[in-house]
Amino acid sequence: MRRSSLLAVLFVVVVAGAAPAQDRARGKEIVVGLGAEPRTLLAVTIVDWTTNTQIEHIYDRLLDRDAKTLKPKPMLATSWKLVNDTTWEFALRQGVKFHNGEPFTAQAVKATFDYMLDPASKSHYATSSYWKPVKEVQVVNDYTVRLVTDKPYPSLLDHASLTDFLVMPAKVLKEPGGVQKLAQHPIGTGPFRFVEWKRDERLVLERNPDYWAGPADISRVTFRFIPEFSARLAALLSGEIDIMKDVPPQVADSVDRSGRAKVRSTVSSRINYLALVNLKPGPMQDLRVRRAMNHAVDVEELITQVLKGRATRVCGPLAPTNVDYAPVECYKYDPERARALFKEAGVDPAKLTLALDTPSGRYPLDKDVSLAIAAQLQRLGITTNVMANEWGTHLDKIKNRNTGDLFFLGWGPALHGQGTMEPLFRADQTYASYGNNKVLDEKIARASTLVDAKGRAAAYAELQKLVHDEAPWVFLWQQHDLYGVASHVDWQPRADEKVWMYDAKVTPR
Amino acid sequence: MNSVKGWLGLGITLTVVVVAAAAPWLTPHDPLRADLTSGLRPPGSPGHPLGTDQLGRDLLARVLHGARLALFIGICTVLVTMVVGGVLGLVAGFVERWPSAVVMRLADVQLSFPFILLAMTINAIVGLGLRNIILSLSAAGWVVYARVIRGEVLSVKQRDYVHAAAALGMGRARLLWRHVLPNVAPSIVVVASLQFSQFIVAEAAISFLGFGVQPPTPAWGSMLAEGRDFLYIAWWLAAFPGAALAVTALGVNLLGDWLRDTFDPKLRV
Repeated sequence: MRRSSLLAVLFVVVVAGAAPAQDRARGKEIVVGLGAEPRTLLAVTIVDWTTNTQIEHIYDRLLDRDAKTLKPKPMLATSWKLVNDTTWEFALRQGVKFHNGEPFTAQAVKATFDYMLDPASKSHYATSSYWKPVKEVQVVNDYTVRLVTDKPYPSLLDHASLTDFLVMPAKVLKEPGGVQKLAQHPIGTGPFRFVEWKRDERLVLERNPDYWAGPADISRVTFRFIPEFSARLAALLSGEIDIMKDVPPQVADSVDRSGRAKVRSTVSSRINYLALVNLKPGPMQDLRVRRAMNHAVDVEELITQVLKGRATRVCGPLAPTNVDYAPVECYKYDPERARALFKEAGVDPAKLTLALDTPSGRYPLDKDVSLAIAAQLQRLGITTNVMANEWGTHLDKIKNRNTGDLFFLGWGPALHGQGTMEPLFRADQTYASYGNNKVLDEKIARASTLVDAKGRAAAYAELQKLVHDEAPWVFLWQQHDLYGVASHVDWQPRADEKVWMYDAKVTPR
Repeated sequence: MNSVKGWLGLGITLTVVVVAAAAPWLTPHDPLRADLTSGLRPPGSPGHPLGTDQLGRDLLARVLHGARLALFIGICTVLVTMVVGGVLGLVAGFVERWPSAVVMRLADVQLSFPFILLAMTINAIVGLGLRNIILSLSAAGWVVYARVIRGEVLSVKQRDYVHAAAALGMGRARLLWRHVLPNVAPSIVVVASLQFSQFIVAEAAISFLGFGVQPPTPAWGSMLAEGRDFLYIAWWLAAFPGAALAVTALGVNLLGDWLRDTFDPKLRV
């Protein structure tokens, strides 16, 4: 029993990142420290940035996005055109090979679509907000493919240029057990090949020397999964990792001063929000309560005090980075107004107990932001129990509608309106917290079919106003992504959050 | 009473108890009240002798109230395990045959799992929160009492005065209460004191891992976990709750050792 006091002492000494720095070859290898591991290695399965940012190194998309303008540009498709309102034609790149030697043709595009849209695959991307509008994939010839949609679907190009569509090899996909094979050992056309995935530890990729756009500068990429900020930071400063995601704003200066790494930041297209869950019974069913919550949370204070200014406030569901953005008026921090609204709704804040689910380590200072929100709500007498979840658990809770009345989440890359409105405000969607609003459902469905630029802008402006007034969230901010980048690595973060190691360069030490 | 360690243990334990009891008078701050504009003040800042945490909550207040929570959990758990384990032990020792077999086999099964793992598993099943952490620790911890007390009872009931009382026609329940229980009481006290620190540390470990007591309640374990994120810029967040935990556990352990030596030298290993 003496051991217990020793244990206590040990706790104090547990400095995160106690694992010894590995003796890795100082070649052209980059180790990226992320907060979580992929939830699967199977492409086009899960809507989750952490998963897809890692596996997109193995796969290519039909289209890419320019790092600066974020406009779609050729990738596996060299050109595209609209044949009629509901038919898109893509000319495919010739001479591209999968990592197993299988040539890339229109058959691969079709097979991947067929697999994804098959209900048995249970892909998140088979839903109406992603690829369900595609009713047919026509193979015109080996290098021309047509996507036929059941309604005009202008967002198709946006989805084709994000990780929403990663092309898998047709032959492997179709053979019996092929899907399991691809889940264990993904085969794509991308700049890196799969080497190994050690659960809860690392994902290792090596350079594909035959990449169609030329081989990457770095020979090996390792993604290490380190949930705690402090442990990631220790790993960065000890040279164990070369790129660290989400440097806490408080320590940005000390990273810059360390001489080992510099902080590189960008305003991300990703928004953070506090969902006020109305898809289950509870106080958030009442619009007045949801509005009161928006007046009760002091977003400016959270930004300046908790995030040290490293965030840009958003007042509606879309951020200015989004092509469909239209300004809406901010909810002002106004405790009196909040009290009045609570009273109107017949809710006594002093007797209100809310449960708030937050991830811990997935977004910049996510848990601390949640605790700060709880503290702000306390000023009105509201008791908020904060539940810090491991990332996978958090997503599962949201999917299973198992969260508390509130949950904290980020959404991105959020570059086009449909990609936010449809998946988050319709009750039947995976990550929705709000829905069953007929007016909103109809208007979202209509907006997503508008091809004409003016009509689309007007439709999304109206939607943003509507969503703002419905207050399904406490609208928070666009996060600023802070990466710690080792001095010998040349790499710039992007607003669309691709941690794209194909662009990284290493200065030999 | 000439043991230095004993006095030290008693001193520390009493200090912790007094400080915890007097927490609201020792600091004007509410441990839950956040002041986001004065986050991460270092120790020695005006009004905040131990500094503030990332949300501007006064660390001294949180450590002191953490002491209350730790002691509360420790005392409750010890009481529950003492009653449950004690009764089962008494019965198993006194009534032998099948009650003894059932209780002891159950205890054996339970002892084959590591204590902390078992407590965490139970906690994961019954859910989080203060009441449930006490429940889980108790469910995992009653075995020690049951075994120690059964052993004691087995030996005490062979004594002549117990036989004599039984021969005079004293009922079993009364026998147990009047003659057996007083004689096993010292062991109960010793085990309680030794278990106490184990429960406090286990609670901290479980809260550290994110189970157990949930934020914003100031529990030393979860304070350590939160402080870990800021270790590079604010060492005090983890250091003070950690030190408080270590000192408390040390004090109670020393006291327990001394109690054991005094009451029951046979138990000395």
